[in-house]
Formats: sequence, C-alpha cells, structure tokens
Amino acid sequence: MNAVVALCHFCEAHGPAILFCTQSFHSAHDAQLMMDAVPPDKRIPLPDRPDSRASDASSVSSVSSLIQAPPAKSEQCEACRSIPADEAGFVSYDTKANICYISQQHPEQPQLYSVVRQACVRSLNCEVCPGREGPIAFGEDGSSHVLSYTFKIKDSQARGFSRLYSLVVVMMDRVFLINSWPFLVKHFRALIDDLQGKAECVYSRETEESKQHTSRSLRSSVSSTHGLDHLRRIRANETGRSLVELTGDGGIFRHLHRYFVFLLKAGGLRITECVLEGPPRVVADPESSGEQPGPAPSTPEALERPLSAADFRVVEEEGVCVLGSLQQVFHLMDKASFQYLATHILKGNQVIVRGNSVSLVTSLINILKNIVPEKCCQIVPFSKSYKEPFVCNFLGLSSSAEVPKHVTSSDLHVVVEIFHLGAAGRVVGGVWAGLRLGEGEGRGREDGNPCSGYRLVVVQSNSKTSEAKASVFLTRLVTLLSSEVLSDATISGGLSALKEEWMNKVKVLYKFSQMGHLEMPQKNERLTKLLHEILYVGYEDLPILQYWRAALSKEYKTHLMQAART
Amino acid sequence: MSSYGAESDHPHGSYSVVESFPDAYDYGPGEEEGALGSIGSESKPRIVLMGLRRSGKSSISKVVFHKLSPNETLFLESTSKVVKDDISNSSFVQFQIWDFPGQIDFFDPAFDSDHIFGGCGALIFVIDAQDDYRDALVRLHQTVTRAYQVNQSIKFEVFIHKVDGLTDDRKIEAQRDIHQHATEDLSDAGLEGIHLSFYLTSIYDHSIFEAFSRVVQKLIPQLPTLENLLNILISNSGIEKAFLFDVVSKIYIATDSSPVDMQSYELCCDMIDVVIDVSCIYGLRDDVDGTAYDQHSLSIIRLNNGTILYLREVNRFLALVCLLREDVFERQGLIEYNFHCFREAIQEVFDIRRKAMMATPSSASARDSP
Repeated sequence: MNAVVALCHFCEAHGPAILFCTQSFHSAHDAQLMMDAVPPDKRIPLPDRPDSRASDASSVSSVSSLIQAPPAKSEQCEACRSIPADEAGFVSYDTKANICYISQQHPEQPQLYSVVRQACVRSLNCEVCPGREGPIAFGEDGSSHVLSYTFKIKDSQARGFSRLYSLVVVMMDRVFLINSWPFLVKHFRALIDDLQGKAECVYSRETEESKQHTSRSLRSSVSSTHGLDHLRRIRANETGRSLVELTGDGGIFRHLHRYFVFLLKAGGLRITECVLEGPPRVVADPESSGEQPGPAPSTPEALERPLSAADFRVVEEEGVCVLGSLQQVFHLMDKASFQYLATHILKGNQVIVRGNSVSLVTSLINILKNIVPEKCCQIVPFSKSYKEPFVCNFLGLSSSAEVPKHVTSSDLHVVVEIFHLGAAGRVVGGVWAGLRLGEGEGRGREDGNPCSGYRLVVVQSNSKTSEAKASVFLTRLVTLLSSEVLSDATISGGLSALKEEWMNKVKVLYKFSQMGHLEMPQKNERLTKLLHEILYVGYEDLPILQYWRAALSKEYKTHLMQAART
Repeated sequence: MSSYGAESDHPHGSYSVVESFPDAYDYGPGEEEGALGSIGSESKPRIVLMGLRRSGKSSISKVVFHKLSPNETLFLESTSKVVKDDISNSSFVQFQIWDFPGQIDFFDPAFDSDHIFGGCGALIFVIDAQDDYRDALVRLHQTVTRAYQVNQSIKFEVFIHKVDGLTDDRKIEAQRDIHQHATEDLSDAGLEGIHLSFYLTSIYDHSIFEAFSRVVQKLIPQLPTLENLLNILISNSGIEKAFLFDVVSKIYIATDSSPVDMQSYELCCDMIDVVIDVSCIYGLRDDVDGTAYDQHSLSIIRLNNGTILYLREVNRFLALVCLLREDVFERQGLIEYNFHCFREAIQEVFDIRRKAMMATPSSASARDSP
C-alpha cells in the first residue's frame, strides 16, 4: 500500500506533533536514495540486505532493528517524542516483495513531511468528528487524502485527565483509501482499544496512589483551600509524559511499528490496483515508436542484436532508396507471394529478409512488422549470419550469409530475397535449386517509383501451402491493400483498426480458453461455435489468434483471470 | 434561541429574517460579507479569544457563557480545535465566541486568516498574570499586528487574567508593566493607531463579567442611545446607578455615564442570581411551560445601609437593575412611571433596528441587480 501511517499527538506544550510514522520503500536502494536526499547528520545508515534466512520464515521478516542516529531536537518534550533521542527508528524488510518499511519520528523528505504534518494538524485541530473520537476522511484531489482516527488516552496528570492522539493514513489515491476504510478502521479501533486499555490501567493505578497521597496530605494540612491551591500549582509545572509512560509499555513503539507494517502490507494485499480499461496498445503511439528520430543502431555489432519493435529503427544509407509503405511492398510482388508471406508473418513464423543494402532490408522489415502487433515482434535488423527463430522472428540477413538447409526446407520459415535488377532487367543473383520462385514482377509504377529497380522474391518451399484457404484476416488485408482509391494514410489507419479488431477477438478467445473444465469434444464444438458465430473467423485464423496472444499485456491477463473467477 | 421577543405574530418575523439581523450592524469596511447578504451564524460579529496556552481562554468562555463553576475549570481539557460558541440569547447581545487553541499559530499560511479575522469584531488576548508574561507579550504583539493587517476595524482587548492570586500592588504593577511594554512594542513597529484596552480579570470574582461587558458594549452600535436613556431615567427618578443587564450571561450592555463601581456591579449580578434562583424554585409550576424570568419579574431588595436594589424586566432577555436611596423610593409611583417610559423608549430602539434589518435584505438585493 503506497501510504504513510502515522501516530499524531496534540501536545499540551507544543501543539500538534507527528509522533511516529511508517513508510514503505520498494527496495532498500530507494530507501538509501531517500536517505541521500537528507542532510548527512540526520541520515539513518541502512544496513545491507538482511540475511536470506529471514525470508523463509515469514513473508515480512521480523528483524526490526534499532538503528543509531544523532540526538533529536531539544525543543521537543517527552510527549511529542516517540523514539529515544539516541535512536533513529525501526526497519523491517519484506524480502519476498523486496519492500523495506521504515519507522521514524517523522518523514525526512521535506515534501512528505509537510504533507503528513498538514494531515496531522488537520486531524487534531481542524476537522471535527462528531463525538470527538472516531474516524473521518478528508483531503483534496491533486494533493493527499487522509483517513484520521482521533482518540484520547487517559493521563492523570494532564488537563482534563486525557490527551488527544490520532492515527492517520495519508494516501494519494482517494478511491483506494475509501475502499480500505472498513479494514483500516477495524484495525485502528483494535489498536486504539489496546492502547486505551493499557493507559486505563496506568491511570487507575496512579489515581489510587494520588488519592492515598492527598488524603494523607489533607490530614496534615490545615485547610482544604490550601489543598486546592496546591493542586493548581502542581498542575502548572507538569511536563508532558511520553506514550511509553502513559501505557506503561516500554515496547509500545516497537508494537506500533509492527502494527503499521502489517497495515501497509495487508492493506496492499487486500485490494490490488490494476488496469481496468481493456485494450492493450496494439498500435504503437507516435511518441514511443519509430517516428521519433532515435539513434539508429549503425554499427554492425548493434545491428546483430535482437531488438523489440519499439527500439527498431530503419537504417538509412545514402543513395539507396527505402521502402515507404505496405502498399508499395504489395505492389512490388504478386498477390500470391504476398499472401504467402503475410500468412507466415501472421502465424509468427520467422521471416528472413535477404539483401545487400542495409537500408532496404531494414525498411522492408519495418513495413512488414506492422502487420502484427508490436509486442509480437523481435527483430534483428541486419546480420551476417543466420539467427534461430527463438532469437528473433524478423531477421535481416546479408546476401552473403548462409541460410541453413533445415530452414529453407521448413514450413515455419519464409525467405524474402531483394534482387537488384540489372540494366537488362535480369535478376542479378543466384537461383535457388529445388525451390519454386514466386514470380514477383515489379508491376507498373516504373515511373517515379524509386524502388522500381528492385524486385522482391518470396521463396516458397515445396509444400502446397498456397492451396490452403486464406484466413479471414488475410483476405481483408489483401482487399484493403488492393484498393485503388484509398490513400496510404487511410490504409495504415485501416490496418490499425483491423489489428485492434483482431486483438479483441484474441481477448475473447483467451477468456474462453481460461474457462475450460470441459471435455475435449465438447470444447471443440464450443470453439467452432465461438469462431464462426461470435468471432466471425475461420479455423485458419486460429493460429493467428493464438500467436497474437503474446501481445496481451500481463496486467490485462491478470484482470481477465480475476474477472473470470468472480 | 435566536428569535427575538414576542414578535412571532409579526408578519415578517420569520426565523430567517431574524437570523439575518446582524446585517444591520455595521462595523465599517470589514463587514463586506454581511453587506453581500450572507445569512447565518457566520455573519454574526465575532469575538475571538486568543493567547498562550493555559492562559484561561476556555475557562473564561465557559464561566461567562456556560455558567461553569470557576473551580471546575481546573478539569477542563486543553482545547485542540477552534471552539465556536453562538451567543444569541438577546437581540442586542448576539455574537460568536471563537475560542482558539493557544498552541497553534493561526497566522500560518495554511490557515485562512482572512476568513478568521475578516468578520472579527473584537480580539481578546488573554495573558496569564501569574506566569511569566514575556512570551505572552511577544505573542500579543505578533497577533495584534497581523490581525490588524487583515482587518483594521478589530477592537483589541487585553485581559490580564488570573489576578485573583495577586496582591493589589502587584495587580497594578502588572497592568502598568504590560501596558507599557505592549504599547511601546506597537509604537516601535509604527502602529500607534492601534488602541489596546487593558482589563484585570479573574474568573473567581465578577471582574471577568465586567470586562466582557465592556468588550461587548463596544460591539453595540446603539450604545450611546441606551446610555442617554439611562441618564435621563436616573436623573428624573433620583436613582444612583442603573444597569441594563443581559440576564443569561449577566453582562451589562449599557449603564449610565457615572463611573462603574465594581461593588455595585457585583451587587446587581448577585441580585439577578437571587431573583432567578428564587423564581426557579418557587415560581415555576410543573404543568405549565414557563421560564423563571418573564414580564412580571420584579424585585425590590432593601439593604440595611439604606440602599434599595430594584430589578425590572425590560424584555425577554434584558433587565434593568438600579441602586437607589431608601428615601427616594418613597416616590415609587414616579419611578414606576419613568421606568414605563424607559421601557417604551427601548422598545422604539428595537423597532428602528428591526425596520433597518428588514430593509437591509431588499437594499442588498437592489445592489446585486442594478
């Protein structure tokens, strides 16, 4: 739970004060960073990671260690100090979650201090709770929200025989805070009952003693008015007593630390924040994707490394043209070759683009990767040697590199050759023995098309994949691309929409697959129904949908799982 | 208890109109919010009690307005929040007491000092005379200068409190000392324009009621008229001293212009207590809802030194208490007649204010829509 839990006190002499507050840090490193921000003389030296043996005992390790610190400010009295002056606080490590809980008198970071301090003043001195004791919540959007529980602790020496305390939880998230209300209030009440019970014992003992004392002194003194005067004088000199003294419990702050850590930990486990809105980003938004002129990996070594789609950049060489749009690519090869290539890409098979020009190869990859969701792409821009499919599914390969035999003969790979047309229009390059070459003629557009001097050839293996029925997605993609009336921008928009639509189908299928306690035949029957009647796709699309599942974000999957369970 | 008198049969005597009455008060430029027609308790003239912790602010407010026994103030808790107290038992004495916790600096930017001091009529700063008051003087100076920046029409009153434990010499000494320091500090800061009034007070005698009376009187715009009426009454009836009391709080809202003798004030206070107590015990019937104080309330007490205390009801909340010689009282009929005239005159003052009060909302709305 990203919150600060604090105990506040309205000190008779010094006004409202933060007594004790517990924060969580997501790693010891963060805590160290926090410590670095404060002046060195106030710093708490954090020990290194605790022993691993602590982690197996319980999830929150119980090593609460008192750490040494310089003496606290002298202006505070006992009542507004929690931790002895020569100690700085308590630390607990949650080794499993790598969270570290620190309790101090007050937060060291100035911004946080002012937030908690304001919560403290408001809880004790401003906000009115009917009945004076009880929970209230207040706060503003944009700043912090506070749940506060004010309560009184009996003190035989205080004015009115009681002193005012409050427990506050400061949080940025209002919805979370209000949802945690029952939990927090229940535990605050329990904690307060405990404190008040202890203080009540001390109080009754003290009043008993003082009664005996006054009856003795009254016998010796002459008049009762003197006794009253005496009482008035005594009370004027009283100094505030610490919570330790009031409760008669030396380990009270240790106890509070544990309780607060429990609240932070359990409060976080109780409700998990998760992304509720559905669609994970399929289409890359301009800020994070290739539009940004990021540094292109120019060194050959950098080009050999696998990259995610977001990090991938087109390498531009001087004097060599680049391919600009999917439409262009579509027109550079014949329809059957494109369908063959696209089917492989959609199913997640490895695409190998071979050519001599780095810019041409990377630009083609850049266009082809747009057919599938961004998260499904793993790209090696340009390599001199073959990389296995588990390294990347888009591979740029120089023409000189060898492609292993098992790859060329396999059905799970597709090779695109970029040939430079000689002056005579003849293909310059080798001929693949035993392979059927897709006849990719650069149809038309001779004029003005800078890439007309190139030819894209999709190398197809022997098997009869071309006879297989085209998937619904592919049919729609081809229809979209072969349209003569649409502009490039419209087509790319249409492609995005198409991908989003298919992602939604992926989600439905994912949820369907998570449901299953069904027997095989029954399940198949249902799956068929689902595909045809709800998703309007065929069996040919199933591999695509299954592959695209990789693009679902983890948060979304978790959300779907939870939704399915409830 | 904000409705006033027996005017419920009056066509315009609705609750909301009575609530909006303080609009008729005008304390100068600081009352902007009242002029804009804001209705409700927020617009009542405000008396704020400030001072260091444990100086006796809550005790004063409890003793004066809640009839707490002074000895029981020992057991009051320390005040942690601003305690707002509506005093509206009389249409003359109608204000809010704001009792501040001494530990908190309300000039901190986190607090809206415009809101706190904007509608403030009087600021009472309480100094514990039994304690070392140097810190209190520093705080007094801060408070006065900053409040003056926010609202220049505030009246500053300094209560030198808890003087019951001091000898008479030390009382005078403390007052002189505090007066000197406080005014010097102000003139050093170039604020000679601020006038501070000093009072020696204690909750164990009547001095706190007397001091509070004078604070409240400054907030009553009709005070000169009332004083004048009382002067006419005593000169024509041979009365020595006359007080117009708010019965519930026992603070006097007006007296004649002869100097106030503390003893006679105490005497009159005690007389009100006696009258109320006696009629509470013997004057109330179980079957009828009634108050111990009504229009038949009248009491004459003869003291053995030849003085007579004379109490008469003026209206539901006010009483006239007079001190007069026994021989003058032989002409009781004249006094009764003069009192009758006086009561009618007071009634007229009320009527004028009530008319003004009804006129104010319409004039305010006229201003809103030009």
